[in-house]
Amino acid sequence: ATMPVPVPVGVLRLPRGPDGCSRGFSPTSLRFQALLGGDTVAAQGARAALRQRYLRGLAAARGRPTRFCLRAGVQVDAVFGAADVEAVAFQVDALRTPLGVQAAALLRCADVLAYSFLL
Amino acid sequence: MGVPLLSSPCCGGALGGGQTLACPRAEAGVALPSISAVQPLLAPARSRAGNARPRLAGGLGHRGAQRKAGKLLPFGDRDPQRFWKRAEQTMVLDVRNMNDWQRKSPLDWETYVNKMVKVAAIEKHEYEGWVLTVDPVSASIVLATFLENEKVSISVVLGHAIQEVEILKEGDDEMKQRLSCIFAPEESKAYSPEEEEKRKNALKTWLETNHIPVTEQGESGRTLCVAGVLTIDPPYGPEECSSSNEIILSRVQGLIQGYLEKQQ
Repeated sequence: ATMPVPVPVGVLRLPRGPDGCSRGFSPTSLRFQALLGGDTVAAQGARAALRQRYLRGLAAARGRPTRFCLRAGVQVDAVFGAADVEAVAFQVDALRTPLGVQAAALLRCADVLAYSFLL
Repeated sequence: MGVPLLSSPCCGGALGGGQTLACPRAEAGVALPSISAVQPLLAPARSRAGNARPRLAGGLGHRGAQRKAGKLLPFGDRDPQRFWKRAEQTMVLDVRNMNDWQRKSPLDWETYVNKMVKVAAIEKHEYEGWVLTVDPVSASIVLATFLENEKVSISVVLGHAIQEVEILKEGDDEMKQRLSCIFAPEESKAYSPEEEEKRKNALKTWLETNHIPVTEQGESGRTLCVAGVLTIDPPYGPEECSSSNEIILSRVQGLIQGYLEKQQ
């Protein structure tokens, strides 16, 4: 019996998406779970109300000096700029680092544990 | 029959059937097809005559010679013990495993709002405060702490860092009222229709004197359209500008800001 010889094929590696996984979406993300459908109307209403308050909080944070607690006990001061939709990164202005003050920077949400500011 | 064996990388692809192979094992003069010719495939020996088909990933790269000679370990020629020790010491970033807090439903999260809680986060951090909200997208808790000098400190603990949330106190009605006012949107000053019209015309005239093309749009003509890409709604402040072009938006916002400051 003839054995077909496997011809080596080039492997196409997709670039990693912003979420870290290169599949285009994360099957464990809350958005996908919501798409599968499982939440009732009440849960959706609660979700909307909570999200609205959170977004107002982000709007209140804009332009205020914030302290970010990163991993391994690192704390940095910066002026809060913006957050993105899927909580992947924060944009900050005037980030104070040991190397100097960075005019604009992105902080990954995976690195940030908590942040706080004064109202 | 045994022809496929000829085209295996070990034995060279250019040889015809029935010829003596240059493989060491076949030097005994065994012709194909035979069982002993299978052995080179199972345990490929290196062909001294050279391979007609080069190994693809093996012999390339600046370490190709070392790889060919079989001297290179998969993770470089570093000590394997040090490699695994280093791997343990490296911090593992968020590996996309949701913790219990993130898996709760929005109705569960809502039960924590307006309560005083203590949040235990990873790396032994602890945060205390009144829960303002929980972000459904990232499961982050927004806490408010009232300081002595009438200021409020807002702390946001991200969802992936939360290990445990413990309720300490319930909030009474006064506290609920106070918390809901923190992020309340500012009431915009209501202008009467005549005042609005006056403001609109003043702004339009000012823009035209500065050679900025502006037209009126909408059914009642209340919206101003600048250069066809930016719209200004009443009451015609910087916050009411909207455009899909960020550069134009920021420029026009700055202009209007300066204009309003000059007016006052």
